[in-house]
Amino acid sequence: MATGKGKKLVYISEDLLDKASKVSRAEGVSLSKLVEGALNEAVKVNELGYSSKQMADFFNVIQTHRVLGGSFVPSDVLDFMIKQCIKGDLAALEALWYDTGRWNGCYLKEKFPNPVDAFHSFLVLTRWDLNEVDVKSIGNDVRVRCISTVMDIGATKMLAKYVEGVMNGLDFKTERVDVLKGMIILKAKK
Amino acid sequence: MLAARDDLADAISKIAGRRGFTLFGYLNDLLELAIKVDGMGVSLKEAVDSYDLAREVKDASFTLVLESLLYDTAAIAFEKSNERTLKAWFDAGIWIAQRYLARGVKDPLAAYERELKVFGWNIPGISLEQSGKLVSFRILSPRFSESYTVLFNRFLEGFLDGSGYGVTFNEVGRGNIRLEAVKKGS
Repeated sequence: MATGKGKKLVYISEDLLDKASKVSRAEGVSLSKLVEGALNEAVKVNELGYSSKQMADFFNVIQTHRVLGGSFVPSDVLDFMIKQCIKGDLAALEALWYDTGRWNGCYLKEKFPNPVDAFHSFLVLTRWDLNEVDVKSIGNDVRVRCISTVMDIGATKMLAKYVEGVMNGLDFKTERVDVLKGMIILKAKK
Repeated sequence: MLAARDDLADAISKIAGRRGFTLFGYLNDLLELAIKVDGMGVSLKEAVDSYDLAREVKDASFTLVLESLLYDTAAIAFEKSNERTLKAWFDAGIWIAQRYLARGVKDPLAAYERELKVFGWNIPGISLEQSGKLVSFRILSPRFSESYTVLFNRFLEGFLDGSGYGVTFNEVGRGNIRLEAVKKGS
């Protein structure tokens, strides 16, 4: 890092510099301003306790949700509605969550080079009601483990159906699924 | 080489060190991120701001669900237990408003409008006007189902109530909500 008057010179790789130049032109700012802005944001992200990589993953997932049609809803309200629905036609509600999962799985498969990892990020970054999420590829198998201390049995069952649907959309067949209140353990095979 | 402000370069150098990166590596990662989010049609600043906002939404115990699921689940719940479902949404509105107030937010309506504009992807038309003690909310969304519109309206009513406003006018049609309210005690 070379030092100037109130400024420091920082190294940037040439290919990135070319791409960054295009972005700065598109945004109508100088390259120095773009870099300075990026540095500012990096400090902010660091203060939030995250890395730029986590933020990139998060943003990718959020963008995917935007495309798929995501909506924020108070957790209590969602749980309440699921309970009401379960009192009626449980099979129809399960089919609804499964089909939505299947559709999402197909989308993830088309959009991401590693859709299983993408699904892991998807759950971690958007299902804030889950305390633990583990989605692992082992050879031709995928194992999914979701743990929540706040989800009731109804919401857990619906999420399990959604996960099964996603697995199906990713061309995996569910071999075993255990659902307890706040716990889903699923094994699927290619 | 590019020139960067002294204080920023120093701060980044420290962060890079703490995270086990070289300054070169960290800076290049950062620029890659800026280029990536630009490809998604937003600036890095917008991305960071929405990230920050998402944390607030998360802390307010919102869950991100898919619209199709939400609308269908809402329709079934509404049909099964109309009054109790409406109450659940109204209570949620009150709770969210009171959470803002408890955190010292002076204008919960403006704060909620800000969050809704960033994350209300299913609501292209959001307008909030405040004039003295009067407030006017307008929500337009062709994607809302009929039952979801009614439930969301109830949520907003709860939110206004929790923020200390009494509803004076309400018009609800599929995907279209108009609410006017006045500060209580005025």
